[in-house]
Amino acid sequence: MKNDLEMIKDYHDSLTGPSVKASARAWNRLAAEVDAAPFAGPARPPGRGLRRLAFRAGVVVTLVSAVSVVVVGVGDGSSPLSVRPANAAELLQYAAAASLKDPSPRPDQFIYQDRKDVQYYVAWGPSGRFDGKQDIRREFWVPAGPAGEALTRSIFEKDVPLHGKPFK
Amino acid sequence: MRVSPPQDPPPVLQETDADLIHGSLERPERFGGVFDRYFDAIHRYAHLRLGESVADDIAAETFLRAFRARRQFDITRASARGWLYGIASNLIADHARGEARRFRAMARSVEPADHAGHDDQVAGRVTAAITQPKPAAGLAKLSAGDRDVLLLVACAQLSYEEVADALRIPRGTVGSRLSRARKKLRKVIGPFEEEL
Repeated sequence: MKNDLEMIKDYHDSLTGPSVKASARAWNRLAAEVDAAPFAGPARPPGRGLRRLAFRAGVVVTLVSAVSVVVVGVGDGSSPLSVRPANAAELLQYAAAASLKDPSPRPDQFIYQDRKDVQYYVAWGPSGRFDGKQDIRREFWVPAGPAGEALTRSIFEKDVPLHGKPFK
Repeated sequence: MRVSPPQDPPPVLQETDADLIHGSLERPERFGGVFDRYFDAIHRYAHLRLGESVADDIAAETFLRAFRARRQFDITRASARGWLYGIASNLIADHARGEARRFRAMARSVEPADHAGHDDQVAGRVTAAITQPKPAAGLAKLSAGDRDVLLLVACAQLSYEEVADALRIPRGTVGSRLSRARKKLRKVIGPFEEEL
């Protein structure tokens, strides 16, 4: 039999996590704050500006395109996008094409977000400290109207050693 | 006798939260790692207490405030969990009336009421399906301070010491609040347990 604390924990754990949209909004708010933060180091080392620039590129969710919802089959058929894409790559092409047109999404459209994250990490092994980084491209297709199903895809690039000897 | 070196690759040690926060003093972008680690957990905690839509704002604001206050973080503590839950708890405290109202609504809604908001309806369904409304009724009866302690222990799984740090109260107060809260809660949900 579960006790009171376990019952509440079960309920807590059963709740849905944050939506993609809420996470992206929160991340953007933090990114804007981070971006505005003054550099506090004793001296700006070479490459630091580039790293911050990379981070800036990584955290700003860019509205690349609005994809007509006819892509998923409920449109009016008047758009050149009124076909169902065969796969995510095809959807991506449609998204790029749509970005050249009207960038403000209607409630019946999707917002396509393309984000690049740069993860820096440090690890210790037999040969000492190792610093590296990894680029991650994250794409989201989020309904602009009422919440519904969203699509996401992440592509993890190769680790890039920055300092020290990587582990075999 | 020669000892062969171990064949397995050495474990990769992750940076602690304190490393990330300390590092963010010089490289603010490193604070992004703290967000990645805890945003979902903080959001879920706020969702439990105030509903999903309010949780969106509370969770986002928690990380903004944490970033602005990162110099005050005690870097001798490896984990930032308690610190972040403390910030979230302060933000949640501003909604104490709404929280009690929400738990009362959940307690009433075995079937969600038509007039309830979307969050309340979802909460009602989940509560009815998983725990029955009695725990919600119990939570509604607690004072805000007692509820803070109970939920930080039950949901966030913080230790007494972490709760004391998070809420800036003595450790002994954590124990007494938890004990009082559980006693009240059991009065409400006790019969439910016996029915199982």
